[in-house]
Amino acid sequence: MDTGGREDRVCGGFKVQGKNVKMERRMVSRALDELSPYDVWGLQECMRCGICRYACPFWLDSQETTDIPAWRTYEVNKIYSMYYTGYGNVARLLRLRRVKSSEFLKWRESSYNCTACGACTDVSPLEIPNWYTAILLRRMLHLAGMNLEEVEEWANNTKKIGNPFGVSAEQWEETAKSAGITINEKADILYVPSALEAKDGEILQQVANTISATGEKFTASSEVSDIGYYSYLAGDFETARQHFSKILEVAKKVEAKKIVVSDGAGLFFLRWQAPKTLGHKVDIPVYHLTETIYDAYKQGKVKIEVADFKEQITVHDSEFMSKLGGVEKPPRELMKASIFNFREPKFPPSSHNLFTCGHHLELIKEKSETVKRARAYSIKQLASWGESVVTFDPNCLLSMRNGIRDSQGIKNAYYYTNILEKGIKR
Amino acid sequence: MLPVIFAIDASLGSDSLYWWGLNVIFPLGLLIFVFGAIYRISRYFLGRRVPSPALAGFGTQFKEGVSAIPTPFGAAAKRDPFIIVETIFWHIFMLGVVVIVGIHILAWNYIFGQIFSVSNPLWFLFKISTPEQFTSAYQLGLLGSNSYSHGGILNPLGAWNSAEVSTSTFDPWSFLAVLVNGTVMGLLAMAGILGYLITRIMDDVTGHKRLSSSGDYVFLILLAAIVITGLAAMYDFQIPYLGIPNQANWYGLHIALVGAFIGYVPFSKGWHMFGYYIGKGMRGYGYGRKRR
Ligand code: SF4
Repeated sequence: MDTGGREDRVCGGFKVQGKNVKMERRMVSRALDELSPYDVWGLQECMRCGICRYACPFWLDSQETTDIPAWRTYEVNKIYSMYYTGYGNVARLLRLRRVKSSEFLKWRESSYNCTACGACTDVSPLEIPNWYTAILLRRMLHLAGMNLEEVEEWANNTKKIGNPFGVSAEQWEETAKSAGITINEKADILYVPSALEAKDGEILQQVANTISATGEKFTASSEVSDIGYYSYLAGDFETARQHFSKILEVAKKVEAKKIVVSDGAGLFFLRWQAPKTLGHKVDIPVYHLTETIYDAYKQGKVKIEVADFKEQITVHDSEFMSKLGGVEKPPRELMKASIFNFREPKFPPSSHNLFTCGHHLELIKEKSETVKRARAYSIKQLASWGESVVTFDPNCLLSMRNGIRDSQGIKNAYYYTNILEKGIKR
Repeated sequence: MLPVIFAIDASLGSDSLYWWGLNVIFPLGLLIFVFGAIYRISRYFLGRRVPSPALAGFGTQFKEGVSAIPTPFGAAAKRDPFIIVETIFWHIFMLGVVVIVGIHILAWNYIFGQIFSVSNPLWFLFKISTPEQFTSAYQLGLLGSNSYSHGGILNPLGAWNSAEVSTSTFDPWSFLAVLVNGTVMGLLAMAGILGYLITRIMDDVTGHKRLSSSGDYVFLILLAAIVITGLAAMYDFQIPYLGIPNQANWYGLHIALVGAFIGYVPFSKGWHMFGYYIGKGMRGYGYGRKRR
């Protein structure tokens, strides 16, 4: 889509008019419909010191103002204040505060030069949620009809068939069954794969074998072959909310006592972001597979033995699960126990010093060059600790594999289920 | 400076700006601060659309608020040493000036004492305050005979005077007093603020980090003006053509600017002096800060 023109254009509540952008209150209200007090705080408190940029490989690569994480927060805050604060409203009416069309047209580039990893939040003196404001910009682009086409497709597919990559319920059911996962049965655990995992029979089989080792009964649902976060990351919160709600309904239907996901981003979105975006508590607990296995391991229900991997393997911690989700110990401890030549990273799992990989941006063709350069920071760092890498999120696995394809410095990339399946013993 | 005098309709007479600063602008600033603070805090809740259950207690978050202070310094140390030096200079020395210099302590002690009807609420700060700068400046004649002998200029509310500063405060700093005194700390704080201003202008002009709003500049200029007028008041800078012919008006302007600053805090970045801790407390609302 050509976004460079300055001609008048009306897009779902936005109007690029000469040097400025006109927007409707209705659109702004919808875009900012799930702000929590902390989000409002974050928008308002940013001092724009710019320290956040040092944690971000996208800025380190481009050194552009529009890639400074705080720039996005500044843009969102401008809009927020223009409609929700006293002096902002006055400034808007007096035309002292406005969104310039030149800035607006940069949102498309800027908001997708971010994986929403949260490193910039961790390093910020005020812990400003810049990762979230990147998603809010995407949301406005989505509502304005100016979002990236590939990303819109994720949301449209999710809306239509419940899977961002167009995997039908029948295809998913077949893959799951051939991986040994029972479908639509009553069980204590509802297993919810993410869309990338649902396409990968090997991963599903490893997950099935790992959960089976705990002796707990689990099931998946033919209706759920995704967690819903791709729609969320596309800014289509409405579709994400519908999907999160569907997962919770299905969990009730199969009488599950807990939901288990095997995707790091999935854990964050279902445990933390779903209740927030739905505006109510989620009654059923959500766990990452590593948490479930780690608990069973601690309680002596399973043993973890050293699996047959001889190379030096380090971990790429899941940005969403550790940095934003707060799950630090289980993934690393399990890998420590099952990898012979385990190389512990220099920094703790949620440290801003750990660079993000390309994560979900790896799936967007038009971002491939930018993502490749940003990914290099993470791979260089990981390669200094080990020759191969284990990941806890299928997007990270994809990113590492792309890094190997691009000869960026690591030898092999593993999904943790591959190692865990071999190390876990009853 | 002249516009300030015109704005409050004061005459250019010797004591008037001082009187206006202390009796009108400063209390008005406090009042605006109180309403502004209520407005700002309520905005977190009025502007929000979803309630989020707290996940970690305020205590945990407060602890994190303290332990997280070095994080940004570490991240910027190599890549942006200036911002660190500026921040340290500004925060430490400004705080030092505000809580160590004798005349400030007596002023705050008086103001808070009046507001809360307690006598000597800041007694504990007397013990670390430095009286020497003020009194020695007086002894050196830098303050001018006018201010001291009339008493009224520095003592319109019966709050303090030079003699009171020297007898009510203590100087435990010994030889460190070379550094720990209002002038040196004020100048170092000023270096920090000028650093902020210069780097911000450079970043904005070069496009390297174009993130400034006009409010950011107003805020920094206001802070610089407070330090300058404080030093000017102490040393009685003589710039008659600015309409501030004597020390009393420097004090008046200084106090008026502090009043304006206090009133501006809830509407500016200055709020982070409170917002920092409020934010760390609120951080537990929506995110997985309970580590496992
Ligand atoms: S969330 Fe991560 S990728 Fe996005 S701006 Fe912050 S550091 Fe960069």
